[in-house]
Amino acid sequence: MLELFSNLAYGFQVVLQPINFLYCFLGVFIGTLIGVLPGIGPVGAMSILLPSTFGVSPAAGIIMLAGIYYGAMYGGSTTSILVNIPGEAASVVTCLDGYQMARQGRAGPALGISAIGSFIGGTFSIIALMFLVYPLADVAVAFGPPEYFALMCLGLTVVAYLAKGSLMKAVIMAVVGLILGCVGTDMISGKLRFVFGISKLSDGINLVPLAMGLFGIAEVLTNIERPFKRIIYETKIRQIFPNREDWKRSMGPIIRGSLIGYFLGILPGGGSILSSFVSYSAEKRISKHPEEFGKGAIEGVAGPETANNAATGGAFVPLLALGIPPNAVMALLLGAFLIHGIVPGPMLIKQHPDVFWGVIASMYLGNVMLLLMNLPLIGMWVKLLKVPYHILFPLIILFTLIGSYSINNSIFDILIMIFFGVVGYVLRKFQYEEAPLLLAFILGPMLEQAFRQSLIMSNGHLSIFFLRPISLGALALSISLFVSTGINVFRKAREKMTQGYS
Amino acid sequence: MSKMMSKRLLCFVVMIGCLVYFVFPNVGLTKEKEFPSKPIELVCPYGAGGSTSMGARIIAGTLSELLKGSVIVNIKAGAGGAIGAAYVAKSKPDGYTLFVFNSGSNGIIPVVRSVEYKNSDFEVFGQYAANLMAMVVKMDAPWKSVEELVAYAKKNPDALKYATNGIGTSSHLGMEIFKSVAGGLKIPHIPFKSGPEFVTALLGGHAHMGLFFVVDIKGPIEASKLRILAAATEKRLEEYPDIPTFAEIGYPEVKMTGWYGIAAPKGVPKEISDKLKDALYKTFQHPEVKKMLALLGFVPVFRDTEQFKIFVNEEEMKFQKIAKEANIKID
Repeated sequence: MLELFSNLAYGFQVVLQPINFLYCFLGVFIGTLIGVLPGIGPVGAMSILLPSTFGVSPAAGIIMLAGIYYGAMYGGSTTSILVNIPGEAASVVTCLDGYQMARQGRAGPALGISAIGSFIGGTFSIIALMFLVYPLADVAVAFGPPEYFALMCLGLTVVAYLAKGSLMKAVIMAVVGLILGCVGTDMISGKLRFVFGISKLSDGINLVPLAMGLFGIAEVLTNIERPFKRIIYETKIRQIFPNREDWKRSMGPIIRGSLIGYFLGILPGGGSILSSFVSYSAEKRISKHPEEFGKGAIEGVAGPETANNAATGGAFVPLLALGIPPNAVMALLLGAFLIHGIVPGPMLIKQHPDVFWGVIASMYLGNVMLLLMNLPLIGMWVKLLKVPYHILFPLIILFTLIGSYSINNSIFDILIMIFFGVVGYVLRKFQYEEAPLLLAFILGPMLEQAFRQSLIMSNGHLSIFFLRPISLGALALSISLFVSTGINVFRKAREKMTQGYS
Repeated sequence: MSKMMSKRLLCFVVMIGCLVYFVFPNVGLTKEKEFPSKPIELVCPYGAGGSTSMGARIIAGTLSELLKGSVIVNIKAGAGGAIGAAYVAKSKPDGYTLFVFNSGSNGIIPVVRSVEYKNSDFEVFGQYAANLMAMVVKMDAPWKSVEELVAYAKKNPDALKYATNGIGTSSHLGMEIFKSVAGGLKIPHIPFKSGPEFVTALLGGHAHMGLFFVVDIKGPIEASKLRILAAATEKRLEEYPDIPTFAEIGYPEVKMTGWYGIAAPKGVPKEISDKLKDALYKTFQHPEVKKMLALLGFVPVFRDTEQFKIFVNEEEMKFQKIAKEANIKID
């Protein structure tokens, strides 16, 4: 224990050197910007800035790149809350309640809780990283296809909890999401599905333009139906900071979000998106007033935002402990390590303690810097909402167009975004919700892939899912959730029927 | 001036300013500049974060300096590299579009699927790197050699599974050719989506073996979690000289390498193509570039235009043969 603290102190020594301090600041600053700007994500920014790390020490370079990653998680929620556009794929869930809060004049508290939750989640994950890096790496590796399948099942049962209104409509949207997820190349057989000869679709529909269109563009289209004067935040901006009530309600979600986020972040392919969805659904399930979710419940912002930041810490586990990157960002970081002559893995902590502990200490420092940067900016962001909508919405559209192009330098992505923007607009008219579609779109392909891989592993026997403890556990949980939701629905339907007779 | 009028004046000034700044410089008022007079794009058909794109950035950096112009890496990922390749094949051959010509998009993929380009749509300049492959198993696996593995597989058909990073990859083709020459072994294939997923599958025991790039498995090998049984290379691996090659064991057909070079769409004017060739040769042989490529895990291998053309032809024929024998055809 004492050794841990002395190592950490050493790490702080490393990070407080002027050049490392500067790079840490640069990283989190750029990361926040990238998070706020819809479209380009941390991977793009990190890969462009990678060459600029060549001339400095490995510690400084990695510190900066890591800063971009978790900084983006802070910034991503800003546009989600202000204009319903997810700045980052993981911030989609924040749109659900964060934007509603902004419409009620409570953008300030939403942004504030989001920043503080992100800070707590990030810091928690660093602490957990320090203590649990090696044991958790073994856990991460134990997750094979059957476990992923079970986890995805759990994730899909949670779709029901995302729905604000009609459950039936949410399920329909989920099915549509599953179908959209099938578009592209089937990775087990290599066959093309629903591609219709458009080669750009052969890798599937890109998630980010889809989300930006369904949430952001659709929102703009819905808004400009009404006379401009009455849009935007009919009520005056009531508060800038969260009040005591907000704090009380957010504490639980923040704690749970940290745990959920960290553990899901460890899994390759899991990460921040999954953790934010799971946190949202968990909070809605546990909440004493679930009807508020989707209408501006602060738990719906606190939990997911904490979770996605906690997931960033979790994502470092497989990288630092095993040298395996669980997502694209970590893969890039791995490359950055390699270019500096460092092979991450169990040897890292022995061969380059300055890099290991320096990076960990920099994460603490970076989180503090981000908190200090983001809180004062809340006042500025909130003022932005006062800009007349007829000036604001063309700017929103401009940024989303540029953002969706910047992901892959592809016009096609812009078309996807616009198409789904219109689709989203139509869906709203008929009161269908986008969130279940998006969740199913993400989880569906993963579920199918895991299912088929598992069957190859077991030579076709379904028993594999029940013979392995983790997958059995997760499946049992999914089934019980499914059944309990079913019972609820059944009970409500019965009430309605008996009401009709009395 | 009234408020309305001054607003209008401001708009007008801004408009004129934009016109002057953006439009005029491009309207032939500037004289012909020599190549390169605008940024060159180097298209990389694999995603940001992967070693291919990082290798491309290293090449782009030095090439920029030598050509005295900017070379920007443009990631156009998808379909195993086919999207980027198709994009370049259809681009104008003016020397401003270059491509990371590689064993994925230009070796295996055209053989196993129908794509919108042919290798003859490209004009290659040369090769700069290779990626060696080896067969790995988990550290505590019971087979100490390929022979033991083959024996076990023969006695227990379908019991073992192998992992790859996708269908139609060198990882996939390599194992299929091994299975076929080792006596028609029955080892089902579990495709995963990426290198890291492959490694995790092996580490977690979800698959028993796989053929993969040495660079991606170096970490776990150093950590004593994975073990190499044999190398699918011409000569023994430098870092692991005790490990035999497949040829030494009796399977000379099992030889797979990833290769990376630079190409342009066919038809680049000779002066520009000569200039590019010259700069590229210097880049590929530059000691700093070679050092960084090696750090990323590549083996810096230089083949000039003619040598590379011959090599690519040989590889194409090899892939076609393997795909036919192992009956791999995706669509």
